Amino acid sequence: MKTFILRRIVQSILLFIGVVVIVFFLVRLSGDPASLMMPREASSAQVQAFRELMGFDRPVVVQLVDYVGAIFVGDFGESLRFQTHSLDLVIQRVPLTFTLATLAMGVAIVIGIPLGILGGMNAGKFSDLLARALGLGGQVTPEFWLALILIIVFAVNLGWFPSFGIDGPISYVLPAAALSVGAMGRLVRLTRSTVLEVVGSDYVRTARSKGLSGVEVAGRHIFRNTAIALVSVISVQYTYLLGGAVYIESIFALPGLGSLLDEAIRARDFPLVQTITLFIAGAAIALSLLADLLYAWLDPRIRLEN
Amino acid sequence: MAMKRLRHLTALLAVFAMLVAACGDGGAVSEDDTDTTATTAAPTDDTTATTEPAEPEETGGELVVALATEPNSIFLPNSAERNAANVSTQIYEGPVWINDDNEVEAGLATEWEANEDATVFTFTLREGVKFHNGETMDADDWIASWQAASEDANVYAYLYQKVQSVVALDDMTVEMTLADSDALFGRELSEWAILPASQYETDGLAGIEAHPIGTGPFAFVSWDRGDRIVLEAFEDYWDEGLPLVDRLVFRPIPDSSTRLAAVQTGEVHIAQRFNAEEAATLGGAPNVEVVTYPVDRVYYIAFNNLTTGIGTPLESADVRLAMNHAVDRRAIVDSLFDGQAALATGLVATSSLGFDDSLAPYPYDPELAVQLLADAGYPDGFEIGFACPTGAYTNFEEVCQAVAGYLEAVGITLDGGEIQFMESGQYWDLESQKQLPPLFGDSWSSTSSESLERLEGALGGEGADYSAWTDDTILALLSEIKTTIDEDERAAVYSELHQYTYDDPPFIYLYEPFAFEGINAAVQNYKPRAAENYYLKEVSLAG
Amino acid sequence: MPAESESVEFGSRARGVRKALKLIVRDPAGLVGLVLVLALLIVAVFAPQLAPHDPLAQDLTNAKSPPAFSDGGSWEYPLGTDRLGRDVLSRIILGARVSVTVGFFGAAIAVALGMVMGLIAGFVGGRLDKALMSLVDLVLSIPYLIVVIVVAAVLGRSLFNVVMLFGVTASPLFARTTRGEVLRLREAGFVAAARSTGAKLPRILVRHIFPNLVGPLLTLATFEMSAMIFYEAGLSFLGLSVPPNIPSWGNMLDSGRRSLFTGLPWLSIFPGMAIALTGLSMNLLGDWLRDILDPRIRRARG
Repeated sequence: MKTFILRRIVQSILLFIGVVVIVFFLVRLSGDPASLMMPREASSAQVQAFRELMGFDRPVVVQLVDYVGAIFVGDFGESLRFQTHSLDLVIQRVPLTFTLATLAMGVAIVIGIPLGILGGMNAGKFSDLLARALGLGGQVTPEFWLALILIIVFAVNLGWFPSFGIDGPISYVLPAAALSVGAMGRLVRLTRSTVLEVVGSDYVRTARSKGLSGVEVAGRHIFRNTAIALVSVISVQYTYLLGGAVYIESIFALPGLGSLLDEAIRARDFPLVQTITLFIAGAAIALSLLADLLYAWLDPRIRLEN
Repeated sequence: MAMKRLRHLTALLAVFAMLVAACGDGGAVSEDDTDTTATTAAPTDDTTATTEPAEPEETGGELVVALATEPNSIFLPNSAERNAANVSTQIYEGPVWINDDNEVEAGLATEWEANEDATVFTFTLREGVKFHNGETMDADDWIASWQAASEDANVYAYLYQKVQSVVALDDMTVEMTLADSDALFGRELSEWAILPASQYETDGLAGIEAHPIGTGPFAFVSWDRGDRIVLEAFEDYWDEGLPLVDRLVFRPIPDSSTRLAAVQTGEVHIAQRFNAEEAATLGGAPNVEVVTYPVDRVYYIAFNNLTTGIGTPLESADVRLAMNHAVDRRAIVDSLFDGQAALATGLVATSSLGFDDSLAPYPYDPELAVQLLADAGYPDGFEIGFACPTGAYTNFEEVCQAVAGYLEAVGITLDGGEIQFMESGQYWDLESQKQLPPLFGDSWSSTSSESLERLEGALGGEGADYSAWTDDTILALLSEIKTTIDEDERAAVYSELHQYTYDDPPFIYLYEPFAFEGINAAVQNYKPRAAENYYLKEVSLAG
Repeated sequence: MPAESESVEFGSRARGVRKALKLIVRDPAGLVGLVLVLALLIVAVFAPQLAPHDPLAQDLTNAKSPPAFSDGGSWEYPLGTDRLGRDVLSRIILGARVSVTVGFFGAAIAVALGMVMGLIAGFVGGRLDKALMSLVDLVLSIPYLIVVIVVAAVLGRSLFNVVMLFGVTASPLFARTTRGEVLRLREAGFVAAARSTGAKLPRILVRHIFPNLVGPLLTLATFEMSAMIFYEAGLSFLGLSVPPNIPSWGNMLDSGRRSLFTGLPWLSIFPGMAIALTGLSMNLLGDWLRDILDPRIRRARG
């Protein structure tokens, strides 16, 4: 087990470095940020001075080496637009985004999984159809559209919730609801199909034919196998949620990573874009590492194989 | 069982459709509302005296203002765009102030004079002005302010760098020397920020950015990025009795639909940057007033005769006049902006000094256009390249498409068969290198209520980065404007330029949009400006 | 996951088809999905003929008229007109082209690229396998949407960019799936068995590998197509998708967004419904395909 953990950790670190390089180049293909940042009336001499100040006139390879080196000492560069260390800006915003994503994931799990299990165990009956319909509905509703609808109905017309910003825990309700819908839909369908597979498997059929009740079978075998599959699905879904947060945070004016990314892209503030992307990717890598470790703990076969 | 599944699918679609219908009814507003409920607040016909605030029923309270974007900085020389400047102008002040009637008034300077060629300006400082940290303002602070603002890291450093030296003649007198003659310098000073020399010396720019200290009516309290900026009333503000609210909170809300919702629920008191449709919806809301005013910004399609336009039919004045007659501006404005925009006749804006109101917008006359084209030698029209920025201006992509449609109707087709749309960052890059196609759409605003900035920028020829047009007469007139100190004389030169560019247009002039803001009914005395800047010291909250 | 070993060979395809027909009868939802997807394809291909008006024709005097079933609307413009007087229905029909192009070609690129990578990784194994899979993991570890947003912002707005972007960023999923299938078949001994009868690589590929790949890849492709159409709408929301003069459902959603609650809801509701309906039908189709093509599920439902 120890070597397994160690190997996965090393793998993750290497992966992160690879991501750093990729992100650096991805963003370098953009237009010249200096002329965008400066007001229109500024002369080209002033734009050039700005460019030199920020070091954009150096050869790309030099910039890359500089950048990777800087990251290792924790220097993620300065945001062009806000002129503060971009890592500080990111860290400030992290709690909100992760709270939002976790809440949305929670809602999706609490509603989605039981619904999926219900559907899978009662294949073909009404509850299954309900599960399928809700699952599909959740998946095909565009989140940003839903967010606007929720605002108009629950904030403006009914006045139950604030329409934007964070003014206490109640501000998370609408955003988390909008964000969770897609993940909930996917979870319902995935849980359902996993349960279906397991229910139809030899093991369960045998158990049932031996007289074990549905609940017992569920408790022992289905749950465990489903859990294994779901662990990796959930970690993948969580990273999707981080992406969806970009829309939800922009609409609800929440000061999180997603809205910061949106602004940074519009302003072509690429040190900030890089830092945010790296942060989110890093979180995704860490999550997948956790998921793998959890997976290994749940399913001994994986551990032994490695 | 098969039927059940189909039924459930239809049920799902029905729920969807119901949601759709619910929104449809909830949001539908009859188009009639536009005229009857919008209140116009043009600066020029404001009857309340601007120097004394109207007697408020109650003072105090917390005023919440929605911003359309998060400010990059609230140090005024580094505030890159209007939203940022709107926050920092509550904290900082400059030597002069531009009042609601577009006149220059005393600010932190009580008197000033300029020498004959507008290169040396002498200011008498106002006595007894305190900074938010308790210190009293004197000439040293002005020198430090100029130094801090001139640092290259600031976005607007060039505005300050045009001043060669700032010298204290005595404690309360300052002399500024400019590198070049600049008649408009007096007006530009309204956007200066005077800060305490002690802060610059001890903490430098970084300290200033972290905690701005100025002389303005509101003092900085805190800034939670992306969430809110909090300012509180400055008790020792030099203009006695002001400000009238206790706290000022700015909240960035990028999505306009959300801003709309927020002002309807009363979560914000003032929200800006709405379009005509959103304004019409607000008009129906019980506790919200809509404020409309013409913005000092002109939208146009530019012609190029400097680079890509050489050798094209655009060189003929008749062709350019034809194109101006081919476009139905009224229809575009009516359809895309609900009629809420002024039709442009030049780059000198309606609210600007020297606007010649005798010049009427070119009449929509496609037959005349075809005739003019034939006269110029293009009876069958011609092909030309046309580019437009995306994501930059409200509805502008659709405006460009409309213009292309009108041009096509008189035989002018597009090179490549379609408009070249580009993301605004890339677009402005190319524009600054003069590499956009011969026709390109853009707009220009002005914050000083004179159009020189805009005229120089767009018509400055070779020397101006974003200009694609060169004409000796225009360049001569522009120099004259810059050196004419007397405002009336300057106005006459602007008018001359306006007429010249009307007869021989370097642009297809389009429109000057109205801006719409939603104001909570409790807000008193709010007066927006054409330059989209706020002065909130005289605003109060009733009840 | 139960580790059944089963391989589908060429000869059993006929049996598969008969089973499929049986399943059609039992699962009309899947049939609905299939029909809708085919309808979408037809609409996309024959868009210019099907559209009642020229989708690009502006008529400012006719602007903003509501759909036929509201007052002020007329059946000449059944779904209303937009701010430039263009017929919404015709634009939705033309917009199907963008969605189908993005979905179909994006998925096609993803399948092609992913399958090649997965085959190489699965067959060659060793270092090449590790290298390819590391690359795959790398791309997969950055949240898909973030990559899409950043690259779209960088590359600029064009249909080609969007299709390539989606195709390339979705290919890792297909690579993984392909590799998984190849490994499974190798482990179950089918490849070795085939080799021992003297079959060469191309024959092994055609007779053994591809038939087993078709199922999972086709299913995955169907779901990915639906996802890509959604992502295109999302990109338009951020102003990063195709330029505004090309009507796409995402574009229409985005430009109509501000009018949703201000009196012109039909500008964004109908494109939204088109997207949702397409997503719905593709998911139904994907479900159905998975049911008939994935041997394990087939057995489970007996």
